[in-house]
Amino acid sequence: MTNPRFARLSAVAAAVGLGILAAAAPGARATALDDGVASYTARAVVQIDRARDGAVRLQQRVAVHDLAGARAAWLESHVDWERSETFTGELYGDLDEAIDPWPDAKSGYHLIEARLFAGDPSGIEPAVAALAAKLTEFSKQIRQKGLTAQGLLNGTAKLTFEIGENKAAGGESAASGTSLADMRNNVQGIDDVFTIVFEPLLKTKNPELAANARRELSVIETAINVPDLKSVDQPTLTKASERLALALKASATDLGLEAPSLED
Amino acid sequence: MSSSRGRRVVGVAFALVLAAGLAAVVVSEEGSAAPTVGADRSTLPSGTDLGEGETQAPREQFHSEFTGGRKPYLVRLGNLLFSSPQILGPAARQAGMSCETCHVNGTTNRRFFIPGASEKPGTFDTTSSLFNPKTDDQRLDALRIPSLRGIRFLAPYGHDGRTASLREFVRDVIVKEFSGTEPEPVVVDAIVAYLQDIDFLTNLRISADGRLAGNATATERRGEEIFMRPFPHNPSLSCASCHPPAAGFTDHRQHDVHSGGPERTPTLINANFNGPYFHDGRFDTYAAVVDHFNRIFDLGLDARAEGDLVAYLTAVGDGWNPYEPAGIDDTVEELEDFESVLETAINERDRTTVAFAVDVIGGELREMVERFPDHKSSAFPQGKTERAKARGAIKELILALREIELQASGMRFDLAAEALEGYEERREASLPALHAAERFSLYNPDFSRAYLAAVKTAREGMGQ
Repeated sequence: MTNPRFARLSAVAAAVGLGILAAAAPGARATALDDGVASYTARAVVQIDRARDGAVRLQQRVAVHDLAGARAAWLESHVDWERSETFTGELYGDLDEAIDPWPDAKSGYHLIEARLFAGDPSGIEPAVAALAAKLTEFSKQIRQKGLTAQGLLNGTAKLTFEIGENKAAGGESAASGTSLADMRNNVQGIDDVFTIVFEPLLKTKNPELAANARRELSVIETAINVPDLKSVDQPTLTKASERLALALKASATDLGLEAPSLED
Repeated sequence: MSSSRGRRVVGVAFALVLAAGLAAVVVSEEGSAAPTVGADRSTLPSGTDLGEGETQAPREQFHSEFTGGRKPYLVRLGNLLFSSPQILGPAARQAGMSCETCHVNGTTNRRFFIPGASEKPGTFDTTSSLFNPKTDDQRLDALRIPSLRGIRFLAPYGHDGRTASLREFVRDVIVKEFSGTEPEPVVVDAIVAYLQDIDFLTNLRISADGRLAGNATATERRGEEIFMRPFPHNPSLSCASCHPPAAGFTDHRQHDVHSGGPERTPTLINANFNGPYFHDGRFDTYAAVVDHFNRIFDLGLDARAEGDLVAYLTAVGDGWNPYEPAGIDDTVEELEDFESVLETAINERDRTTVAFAVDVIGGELREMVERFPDHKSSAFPQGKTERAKARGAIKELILALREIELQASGMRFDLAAEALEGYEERREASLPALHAAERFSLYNPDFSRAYLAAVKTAREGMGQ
């Protein structure tokens, strides 16, 4: 997966004049990395806004007891959330914990998912309202705080490792049946961050490592480009996810960053 | 030891009760990954229980160690391959299932249940479409998952005794039941060596000739007398004629005991831990088994005599220290066995075995990670920091392990050996973090019970 939407989204971000300043890499001025972070941050804002908009639509559909519309809105919102997991947990941990707890969700996407797709949706209005509020808050905070290269490297390495987990039991979004789509959106997010933020600089500093990372990313993308979870070549996916996580860790030195840890 | 299952310690137990595959349409812009109907069809159907997350594991008693030695290389390799999904077919590999999944530590798995392929926990239909559609007989005819303890004494193999050779039986399980590719001879040799090294558990209740030991109760002795006594309506038969105590409680033959056709006589040694009973697991208790034989052979046993016989069978079926805690140290000890195989493979420049070993050890480590619930779980905030450190340490270990495979795959075995040293140092260094988090993890039975109950309650609150 490359990034056909990149140019268009960058233009959108520029057009709306977001004016976000990416936090600079340690000791650096305006570098290629900073440019990448700024570009990706513009994309991230759009994604979080779309997740928020989906949640607001979800709220509207629930209010009029439109179950089909509510399900569609949940799915719509969740696409962009999954794509944003390269930074949500790492840089906005408190919001992430309220929006996306699992497996014993008392709030957020998975609580609502279970009630919409596999349970009784009555009485979910407060949870839906809270989700919309949290995503609205996220939308504000990301405009204020932005993203950092270090945070993106950490978050991307963590998410890459998670991609290798076995989903044979149905994954996190088993009620809606979208665990495979979640994985694809996660990987799209990883691809976006790597392509926009890290790859350009890494290609100049360590072309072999950049090529290795790109190769493993392609292996992952092929492994999940299948019709269903059952068809995922799990050993290959696990191997490639770990190899890519290794490559991302190894890239830290060339990028002038700290090696990412895989857990907070 | 248990097989690699990723985020399934909790996942299989709860997530599969969901009604999956409900996704319909999503409004998605510019090529985003839109969910489609049925896209989450997974290998394991809803309701599957692979028996993960146990805080105790059946104890393995290895003949090589019991007789004062150490496990030979081939046994350690066999143990590793027994735990590897890679030797089985695509469906098992995708599900992360290995021989070990059904035969936990070479015994049975009393919780194992796959809807459509099991009739009750502890049974599995080897002729279903799940793992090899070509063997599908269109019937649910699940068999009890047998314990493999003492298997070197128990030929012929299969519930009906159809195969004389253990080697041939192992090969058939891999290829026919689980659609694996034809295994290399060393794969089968190693698994057979591993299985043949698994002893029965020592049973202090019986003597070397299979008779009750001196500490037997009067009830058990009355039961033994009934066991040895000729049947009233066919004096050529007795319980002992098919289950001779001096010969491991089996005559190695097939008999029709009114259970649907001839079945091989199972041993009674350590059978307390092997239920359910009969080839299809139809009986849950010795009492039900005794009642069945009392009826079909018209033995005329009254309730007290049946009780005596049950007491005797319970004494014969006992074993010393049958379970041990599935704790961090036990897992690490087993990993060290696998790591020794890895070291040998690196020295031998054998990248195939390196890949197998990394896959199995990595799977074990990924399961270990899931024993420390992460920050996204809201059930137990206490110990969150300790758990995060433990999770982080294990994940780093997994990547250190992957580095070994990466180097070996490029035939850089010197670097692979260096990476192995680094991995081993990291493992040692990670132990304090793991131990510090153990009481807040699913290794702690109290925490595990409370955590799983909290997740279950939360799930019910979610309407699932």
